[in-house]
Amino acid sequence: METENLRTVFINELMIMAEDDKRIAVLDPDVGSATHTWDFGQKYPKQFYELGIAEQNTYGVAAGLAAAGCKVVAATFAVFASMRAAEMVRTSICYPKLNVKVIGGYAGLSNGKDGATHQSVEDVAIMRSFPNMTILVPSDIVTTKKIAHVALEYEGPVYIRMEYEDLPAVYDENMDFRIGKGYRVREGKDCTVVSYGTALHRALQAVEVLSREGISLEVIDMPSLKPFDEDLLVESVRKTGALITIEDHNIIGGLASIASEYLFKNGVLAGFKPLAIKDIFTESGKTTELRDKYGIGTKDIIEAARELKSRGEKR
Amino acid sequence: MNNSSSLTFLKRKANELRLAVVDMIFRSDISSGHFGGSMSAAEIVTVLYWHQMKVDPAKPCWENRDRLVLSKGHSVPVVYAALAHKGYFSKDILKTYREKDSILQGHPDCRKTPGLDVSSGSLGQGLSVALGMALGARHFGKDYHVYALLSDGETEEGMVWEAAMAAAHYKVDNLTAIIDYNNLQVDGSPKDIMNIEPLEDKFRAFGWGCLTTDGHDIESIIAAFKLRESHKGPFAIICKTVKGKGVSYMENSIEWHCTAIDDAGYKQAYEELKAKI
Repeated sequence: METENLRTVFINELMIMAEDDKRIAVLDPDVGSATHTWDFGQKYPKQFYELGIAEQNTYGVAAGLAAAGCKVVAATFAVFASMRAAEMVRTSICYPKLNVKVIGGYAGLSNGKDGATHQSVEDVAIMRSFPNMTILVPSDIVTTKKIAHVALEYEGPVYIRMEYEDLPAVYDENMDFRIGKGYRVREGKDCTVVSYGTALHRALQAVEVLSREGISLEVIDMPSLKPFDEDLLVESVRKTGALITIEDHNIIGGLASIASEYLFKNGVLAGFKPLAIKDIFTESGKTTELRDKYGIGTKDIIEAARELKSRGEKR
Repeated sequence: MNNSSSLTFLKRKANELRLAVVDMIFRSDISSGHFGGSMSAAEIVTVLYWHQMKVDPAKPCWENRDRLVLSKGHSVPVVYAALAHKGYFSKDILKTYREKDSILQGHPDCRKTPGLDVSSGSLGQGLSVALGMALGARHFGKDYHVYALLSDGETEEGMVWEAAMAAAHYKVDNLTAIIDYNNLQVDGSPKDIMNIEPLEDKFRAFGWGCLTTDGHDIESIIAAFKLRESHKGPFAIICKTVKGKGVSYMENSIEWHCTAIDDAGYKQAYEELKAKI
């Protein structure tokens, strides 16, 4: 299957849009070779601002450029965007609702080798607590393209969380991508698996294995974490009676928290297995090895589904 | 208006703004607010709004307007006073400062107050936002100027120097920082809390033009802006001021950074300021 790195897909779309849209301004705090914003800078030097190793200033400048009328895309690693620049994003960008797209690259464990300092497992918790912030997370080539367009068309702050991985397309190019909408990627009846980002691909691998055991998984992708498709979650979990959430994020404040909040609010009680980093600092290693180690790999989904199924049968 | 009557007008206006600051805080529901840094910046703000900045109160979002980034956001009472006196909104609204449902928040909210260009108040962020606006002018081929008003203590924030470095790197001619050097931060004088000197040298070392002037002398402030015009690249004007300027018991007093005022205090402040108008 043809794969492509999500950052390449995103920057290519941005370059296509910038051809006709001089309002687009891309900011880089010296990670352009990693985020691939350098490619943009080579092609559109007048729309590219290198700001050096200074994330706080980068997001402050982003606010000013947006206030002056630019559609700003400021890209760095998720860990720095969400923490080093957190207050600038909150007060200078979200508070006045400025048109800045904050790109959090190498999110989750996708920067495996660099270890805990560069792995971002808190960013969703932080970013979703900022009023006026929208959070979008691409899960494949198609959603990456769609998010590039939808985010740039939307007037206001957006946090785009990206795991920089080579992935195939899951969706059809003609999908109707909308902010606030979730997608049922596989229909099933025994257990709902909800994911965002690259975890979708692990969920789909689990579907194959479990179907051979007679366990039917329903897979839901939530590329819009905020606003969140509450209706789809509630409808699916009411149907299956069991939920697995899977994410490259701490168990505190990410999808496990979001799903719990909405299910409880809607009075839905179900078997629940939240697969996430268990509130510890992670370590260096290959991304796939780390996901297995921290219980967020494909095998963990399979085991969780088996357990939920057996619990359901006992009931 | 000839030059001397213009100066008389500006001097008078600065004290009118001071009186409006004391008045708005006293008349607000808990009679409490940021006096010290508002009073110290009165001449600076007066020169900006009545002499220097190209603005139109009838069109607060006019694209080509000059911008003021009030990085020392707590001093917003003097800017509210200026905006009301310029006609951005009614002077009656001033007394709602820091009250529930008011358009006049405790720190600037540009989505609520007509005439404010930026939401600010967390010290250290404004110079970066101002730089972004200055680059934005260049991005769209416009020639407006961006002024950032900082406090002296604020330069202790590291982000200020990230912005200073980047502004020099981008050689922005349309960015001017003004430092309201009133020599008092919340806990005391910068020389005791965290020495910021030599401030002029620091800006120069970062690639800025810089001069120091008397921040209560209208002619000196105007002259500083005039001199700035001949300088290429970013420029900082350090304005030596007195915190609480204009009301004897507030001057150089750490207690009057942000506090409540009672009837007797208001009466004295009113009389002292009225005598200057």
